[in-house]
Amino acid sequence: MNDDEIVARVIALAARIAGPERTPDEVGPDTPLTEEGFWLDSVALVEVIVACEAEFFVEFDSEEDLTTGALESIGSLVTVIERKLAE
Amino acid sequence: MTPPLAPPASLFKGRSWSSEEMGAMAAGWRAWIVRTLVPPPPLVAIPLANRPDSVALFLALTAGPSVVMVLSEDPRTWRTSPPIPPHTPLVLTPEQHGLAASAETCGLRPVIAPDRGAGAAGENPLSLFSLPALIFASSGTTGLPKPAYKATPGMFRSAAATAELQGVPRGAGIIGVLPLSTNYGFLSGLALATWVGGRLALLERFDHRVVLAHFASREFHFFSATPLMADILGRCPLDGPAPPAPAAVISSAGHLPPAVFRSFKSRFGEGPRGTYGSTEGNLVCAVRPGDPEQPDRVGRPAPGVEVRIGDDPRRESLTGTSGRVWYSSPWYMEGYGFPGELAPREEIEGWYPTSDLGVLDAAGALTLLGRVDECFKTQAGYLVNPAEVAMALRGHPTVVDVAVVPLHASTGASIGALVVTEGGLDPASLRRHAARVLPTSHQPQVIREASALPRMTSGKVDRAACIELLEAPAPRLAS
Repeated sequence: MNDDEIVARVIALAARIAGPERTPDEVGPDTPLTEEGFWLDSVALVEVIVACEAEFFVEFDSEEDLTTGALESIGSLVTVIERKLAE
Repeated sequence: MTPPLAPPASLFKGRSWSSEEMGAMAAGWRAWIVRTLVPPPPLVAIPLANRPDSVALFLALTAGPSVVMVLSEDPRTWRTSPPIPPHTPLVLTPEQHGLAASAETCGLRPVIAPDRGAGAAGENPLSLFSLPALIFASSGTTGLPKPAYKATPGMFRSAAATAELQGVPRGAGIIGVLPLSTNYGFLSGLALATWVGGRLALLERFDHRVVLAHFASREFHFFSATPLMADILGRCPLDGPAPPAPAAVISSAGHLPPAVFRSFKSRFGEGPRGTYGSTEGNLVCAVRPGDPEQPDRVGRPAPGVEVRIGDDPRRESLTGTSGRVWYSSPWYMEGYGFPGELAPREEIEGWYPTSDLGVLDAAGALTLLGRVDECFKTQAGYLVNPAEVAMALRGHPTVVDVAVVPLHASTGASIGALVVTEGGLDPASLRRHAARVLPTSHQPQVIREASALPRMTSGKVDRAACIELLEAPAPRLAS
């Protein structure tokens, strides 16, 4: 799986959870998951995390992986997923 | 009166604090409070976070004569009706110093505690929870949240009833994932752990992996979840067999869909037990261990509590007849307001009204059927007053009219806003505005524009039509 493919799948997951109303027209690695991006609240972020675990068959470590920085944008979340896939 | 209480041992991000360590931290800060707040004010406020330092500072405040108003760390939630009296001290941990500017903006007086090591050891053990009352913000039914003034002994009698009904033994471990700044999070977390002399695992936000790890440790007896948390725990990927759930898993803050109950039970062996309560009345009903498995029920009244259904609570309720829920309770709040300025409680001969509709079965178990007002519970478990959200959205310069309604979601409602604008809707601008003035829990997930709000012949907004418009698949308007 290459980087672009992971980005596309994470965007699709975030868009499904945010819904069309909150999904920006232009989305990319820099799109924030919360304010000024997908506008996800903390509950929806948990949904994204659970969806990513199921999609990529990874298990996040709550302390090490799911830092505030990791959940800032599509790109930062993809970085964590790539790291988990490489383990 | 409450018996002598000790701070609960705490667990946070893998580190443990013993009851003695928590007590020492609180005692140091109590000594500082005694020196700093002179004379003791009638009211102090604190943003209570699910962290050991914040809990210790809060406990230090409870050992004094001042009434404590419990707030969240989000200044957008600090508006109440009536407002918090000006110049009320807002006591902050050193880590919360960033909230000082917001406190001043809100007319409060920020008082930042010194570093934990800087204070002298104070009187220890402290007389915890000897303060007369705590104040929590209730969602209210109109406008802004209301301050519910609650006598401390009543709150602990309610926590004691929960311990008894759910069989929570002395020294039990409690998983505290609900915000302690909410009445229910406080009661089912800090108050319960303090009452049973137990250990409190603190989580700043729900994290299914951490909760599952706590389950697997078998050190915890009680876990109170929202329906959405139960849903996520019941369906999240697992690496291996499911760990055993704590003996008492309670579902609160909203309707528990039967499918969620079943998936949780299938994974963990037992489904969450329903409970019912309110900021004003604490615990009202609870499903007990061994009760019939009926996910739609929120259980029978707690000991000392009576529930009646209908327009006149002085009449006995008829089984199977639906109507407004009333209750009498030994631990109901004293009233809305602040020390010395309490509004009288609304009641009929000791019966307190709720805004919930319900029905009692032959065994006396309550099923909730909706509300008599327009408030609704969100997926995150917050009771949202649409009038409050609408009022905030009207503050946007282009919004001329707005209806805020609940939209269907799997384990609660999401928030929808149908807006009428002057000059066209810029969704991003409206979301930015909402983010400035509303806590995240109250920000609309779905925003759409209409040329006019649908209205009934009476002129009232047709809320069902608004919901239909917001839930219909439509061309995307957000950007």
